[in-house]
This record gives sequence, C-alpha cells and structure tokens, in this order.
Amino acid sequence: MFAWLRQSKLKPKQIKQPKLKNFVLVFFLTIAAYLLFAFPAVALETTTEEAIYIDYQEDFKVSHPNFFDLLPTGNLLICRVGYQKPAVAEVTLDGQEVWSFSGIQANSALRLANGNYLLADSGAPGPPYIPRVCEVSPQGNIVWEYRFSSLAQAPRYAERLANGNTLITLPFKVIEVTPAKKVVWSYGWGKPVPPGVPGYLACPVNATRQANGNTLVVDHGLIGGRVFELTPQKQIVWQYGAGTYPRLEPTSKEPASKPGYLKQPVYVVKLPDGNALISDLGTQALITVSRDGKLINTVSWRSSLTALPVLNQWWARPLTPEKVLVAFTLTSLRSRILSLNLEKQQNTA
Amino acid sequence: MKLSFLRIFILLILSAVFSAFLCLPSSKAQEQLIEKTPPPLIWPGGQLVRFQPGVKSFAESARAAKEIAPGVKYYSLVGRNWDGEPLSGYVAEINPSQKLLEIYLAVGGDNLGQLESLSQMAKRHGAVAAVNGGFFNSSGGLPIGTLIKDGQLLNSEDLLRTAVGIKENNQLFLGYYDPAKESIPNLKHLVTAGPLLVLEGQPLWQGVVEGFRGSILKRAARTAVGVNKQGHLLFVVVDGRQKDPKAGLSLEEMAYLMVDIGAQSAAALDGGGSSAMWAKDRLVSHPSDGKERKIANAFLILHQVPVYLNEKRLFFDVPPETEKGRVLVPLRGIFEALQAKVDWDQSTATVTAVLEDKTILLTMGKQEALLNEQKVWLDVPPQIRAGRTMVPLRFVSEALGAEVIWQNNPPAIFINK
Repeated sequence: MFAWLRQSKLKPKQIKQPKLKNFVLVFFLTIAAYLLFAFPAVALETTTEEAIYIDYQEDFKVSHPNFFDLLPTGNLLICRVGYQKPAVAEVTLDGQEVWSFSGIQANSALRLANGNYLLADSGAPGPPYIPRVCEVSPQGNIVWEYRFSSLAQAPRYAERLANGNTLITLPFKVIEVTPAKKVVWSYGWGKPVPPGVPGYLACPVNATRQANGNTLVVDHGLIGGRVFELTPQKQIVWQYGAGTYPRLEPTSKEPASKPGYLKQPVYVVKLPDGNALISDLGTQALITVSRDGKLINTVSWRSSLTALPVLNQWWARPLTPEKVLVAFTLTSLRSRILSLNLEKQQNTA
Repeated sequence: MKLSFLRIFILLILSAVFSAFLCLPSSKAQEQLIEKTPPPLIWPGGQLVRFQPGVKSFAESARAAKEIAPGVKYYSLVGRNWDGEPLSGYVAEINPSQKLLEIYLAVGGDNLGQLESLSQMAKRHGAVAAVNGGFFNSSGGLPIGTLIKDGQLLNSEDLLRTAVGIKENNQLFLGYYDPAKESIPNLKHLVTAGPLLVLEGQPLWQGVVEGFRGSILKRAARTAVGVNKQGHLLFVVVDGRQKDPKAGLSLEEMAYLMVDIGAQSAAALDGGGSSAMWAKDRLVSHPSDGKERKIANAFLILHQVPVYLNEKRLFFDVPPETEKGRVLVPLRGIFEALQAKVDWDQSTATVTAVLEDKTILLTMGKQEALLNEQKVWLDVPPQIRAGRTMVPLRFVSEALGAEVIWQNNPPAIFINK
C-alpha cells in the first residue's frame, strides 16, 4: 500500500533534515492516507468501499450522459445532452428522478453546499441559445446567472469557490467571477494561440481550485492532454502530460497509456498526500502521479468494458486509485454509469 | 470495513514508524523546491496543433485557386491530420453577390425520400459545383431533421442540432431552427446538419452536445460549409477512411481546418460515405465507400439564368447560355418540358419537334428554321455546346404556342403555356 507513497520521495540531496513538526505532520498524513483507502474518496462519511457499487442505467436513446457527479447522498447528478430532451437530472441509483432542469445542454453540474445546483450550460442548439453558468434552486429558479455572448465561449465546467466566487472553464480560458459578475482572475487567451505561448490552453475541460489557492487545470488537448497546477500568479508549479501524444503504431488503434503522456485527460483529483489521480479517457486509465511529476501507477479499465458493446465513453471520474466511475453509451443507444473496481487489472507502468 | 481498537493501535504504531522512516521535508519545503525547479514544458510544436502543410500550405493552395465559373473558385488541399496521416481536401469558394450565381438545394430525384448520387444531381441541374447536404435515413431516404426547399417546408423534425440554410442573395444561415416556433426572413433552403464547427473565427467543440456519437465522432470524410471575412461561402470536403491511408478528420480537426482556410463561422454537413464534391464537371473527391453513395439532398452552386415553366423551375443538364441577347437552352430539355415530340436526324443534323398541329425543323448552325414548313429567321442558330444541342429558347417556346417573359432584375425567364 505504501509502495507508491515511497516513490514520491524527493531526491536525497534535496531533502532537509526532518523536524519534529514534519514528523507530526507526516504522522497524521499517514493516518489520513490509511483512512482514505479504508473509506474511499467519494461519500467518505457514510459509505464503505464495498458499498460503492454503481450500475445506473438510462433508457434515454436521444441523449447521453456527458457529465455526472456523485452526490454525498449517493444520488447521481447527470448532464444529459443530445438532439432531444436534454436536461440536468438528479437520480437515485434505481432510476428515480428526484430533480431535473430541462432544456439545456449542460457540460457540467455540481450540487452546492446551499442545496442549489451550479450548471455550465453550453448553450448548444435549442432554447435559450445562450451559453451561461447558472445557479438553480431545487425549485428550478435561477438565482444567479453569468451569460456569455457567443457559443464560442460555451462554458465547459463551473465550480463555486469557498469565497463565493465561481471558477468557470471556457474553451480557451479559465475565469473567476464574483457574485457581482466581475472577473477577478483569469488564465488563458480566450482564443487559440500557438503552444508555448504563456497561457496556452488547447482544450481545457475543467479547472478546480485547491485548498492552497492554486488551480488545477485539465486540458483535454487536441493530440494529447496535460494536467497542470497554477498559482494565483499564473505560474505552473506542477504538470503531467506533454500536451501531445506519441503517434500510434499503424497496427494499433487502441492507445495504451505511456509514461509522461496523457491521451485525453478528463478529470483530476489531488490526494491527501499531494499525489494526483487522473482519469484519462483516451487510454481508459487511472493514472497516479507524484508531486514531482513522476508516474506512480497506471490502472486500466479497458478490459473491464470489453464484454460490453460500448459505443462511446463520455466521462470518467476517479474514486480511488483503483476505482473509477465511467459513463458510456452502448450500441443499443442506452447509457450506463458504472463503477469499476480495477485492482485485478492493475498494470503498473 | 470496521476499525477495531486493535487495528487503530496498530495503525498508530505503524504510522509513527513510517513517518520517522520516510523523512519527508515539510510541505513548505516541497513547494519551494518545486517552484525552483518547475517541470519542463514540452510542447508539441505549433505545426502539430494546426495542420501540417504537406506539399503545399493551405494558403498556397488558396492562392492557386482557379475560377471555374464567375464568382466560383476551386482549389484542392493537401496536408496531414493531427496524427500525421495524409489529408486531401477540396474547396469551392463562392462570391455570393456574383450575378446569376445561386446556391440551390436539390432533392434526390426531385422527390423526398428518393436517393440520387451527387454527380447525377449536379449534372441534371447544370451545376458548376456541388456538395452533399444534410443527414438522411438511408433506408427510407427521408431527411433527418428539417428540410426547406424553395421556401417550402418539406420535412419537419425538431432536432437540437445546427441547421444550414441559404437565404436570399445566397447568405448563409447557421444555427438551431424550429419552423414550428419561428420563421427566418428570406429563407430559401435549409437542412438540419451539424455540429457547428466555427464561430467568430474560433473552433468549437460542440459535436457531443448536439447529440452526435459513435463513428460520427471519429475520423472520417467530412463536408462543411462556412463563410469567411469577405462574406464568401466556403464549401469544403475532405476524403476519409481510404486504404492509402487517408483516415479523414475528426470534427475537431475539421473545425480547425475551417479556421485555417479563413472561415469565421462554419458547420458540418453529412459526412462519411456521403461526403462528396462535384466541380469542373466531375466528382473531384474520393468517396470513402469506394464508390459514390446515393444521397437525399445536396447543395448545388448554379450559375445560370433561372427558367420557369408555368412557375415551376426548369433545370437543364447544360445551363442556359446567352448569345447576342438570346438565351440558348438544351434542345431535349426544353422540348420535353413543353411536351413536344423530338426527332433527331444525325445525317442532316436536323431536329424535328412536333406538338399538336405545330412542327418545327431546326438545322445545326443554320439561322433559317421551318415552322409548319414556313421559313423563320433566327438571330442565333442552333448549335452544339458541351456535347448538347442548344436552341433559342424564345423561338422554340413561342413557336410551340407558349408565352415567354424576360425579367431583368433579377434575371429570369418565365414561360407560360
């Protein structure tokens, strides 16, 4: 269990002598790490690892689950997008819809601490045509809204920060907006710029603010992605993935995970020990990376789905380094959100 | 999993030992360390994000464009997709304000539900260029979504996808449209297509939220239409999924390609085996099925004087041409439209057309014609152009008892019979 933690040590010559406060800190961190695995990352307070078994099925054939969030209640908050009946819906695992907001093609939806829902509405075809981030009450009232002027700025992800601001991921930019709709922080150009230009973003899909004030950005990329951590001063202090991906062999149509590269990262969570856990949809792998950017572990879920006639995989959210929730559509056009325990398929790089 | 007292005790002991062993520096020290030595930023190089130029850059290709008709330029593209696979594409750039130029929506066999190849549709309309249109049900041939032709709603299905429309003066409409809820002023033609690829000169990533899935999201042959800063329309087709090995483009790659050739806004039309472009009197693209697929509808670029018979548009496989103020049309097309019986004598190069009690006799290259055996002098003689026998429209129509009206603005010919 601790093997991957040990790999995250810095080089000996760079390590200072341990102090008492370090000892105490690591002591509690170790306990926290143990508890993390005893009680998985999602539903930490109430759910055991064995209990996180999800096999949610949707009968909708005209839409598909572009994004989901697993709520502390165990319900799923799903963004259904498609050519008919798009909606954001909170559902129980047995398929009961307990809340929905219809008519929008949302790229993300999160439940806020106040019970409201924060939606990143792409504004894609269909009323009301306006890309926006909106906070919706359980009664379906829009209590806050930030609109964008064009579909070229369709928001991909939005989260509410502890200071009350909203962090919004746009096609080529990340912005932080106050409740009064003032942009107080941003990263990126808002348009395509060549790689290497400071602030370059190829195709960011989500940005999340960390407890230390930094921002974790998942850039899905065009030919390979990357995940990086930004300071408030917009300095990249950590990165994994090169923003490109080695070309596939002509005989291979199934990209395997390659150390140092990400094919199509869609989400990242920072573990209590500072390591990052990345779900890479392109290689269908959970990738654990240390604070100094070294690959610790790669676990693939490809073999877990080979028995199913999967048409498309839409979204994958890591629960633990060996457990992932994947949303996919079958060739029957019905969709599923399935938890996959990957311990048996472990494939350490 | 339950935590017993014994387990907690063991955990505490192990944690203490492990912490002393591990000798991790403080988190502050780690942060300082990382700030001093940021990870190298390895970028792929700009040429990989945009298209690699291959033999010619796209800009050079555009400069090499040839005018295949007034207001219609055509050029081909050669490059590579983002995985380095060969890319071949074809672009028809249209000046929408060019006189007599028209973007027209053709339906297979002129009947909804009927399929016809792009080549066939382009030929029988006398098109200068053409591309495939919207999605359709391959079994029934009906369009998927809404279809409007000549301002008439022929099919309606509310799909939350981008529609491609043509308004008066060949202006492009791109966006969601539900005819049950609103009307678009001056709309002539429209098909449901999508996804939207480009807006404000920026590539979009909208395929998934428009409900596309499966192989449509993978690399394939693509067709798209856009508009550049000059207001010129860009009809683009790229080959795909061929053996040599042209895999085509993903929707994202197609969006970037449209941006690269100057599109300010653009949307995809049907793709895959349906993707095809007709230009210079032939199919210039290479269908990924290995042969041309029959499709439900197509956008045609016409450069011709519109001809209407009893208010119904007439099309000829060779477009009407003007000489000395006279309009010439293909003989067989006009006589068949007027329901005259036609006979061609190869040995004398003479055409005989009979309708009720009227008989016309025309000889190629001769300005003298016979109408019921009486000599009639023609301003322009019958002649062969592009392999078709062309005859003066006004003479043959009026000789067969029809009224011909010329409209100056916009130019059009109305035949009433």
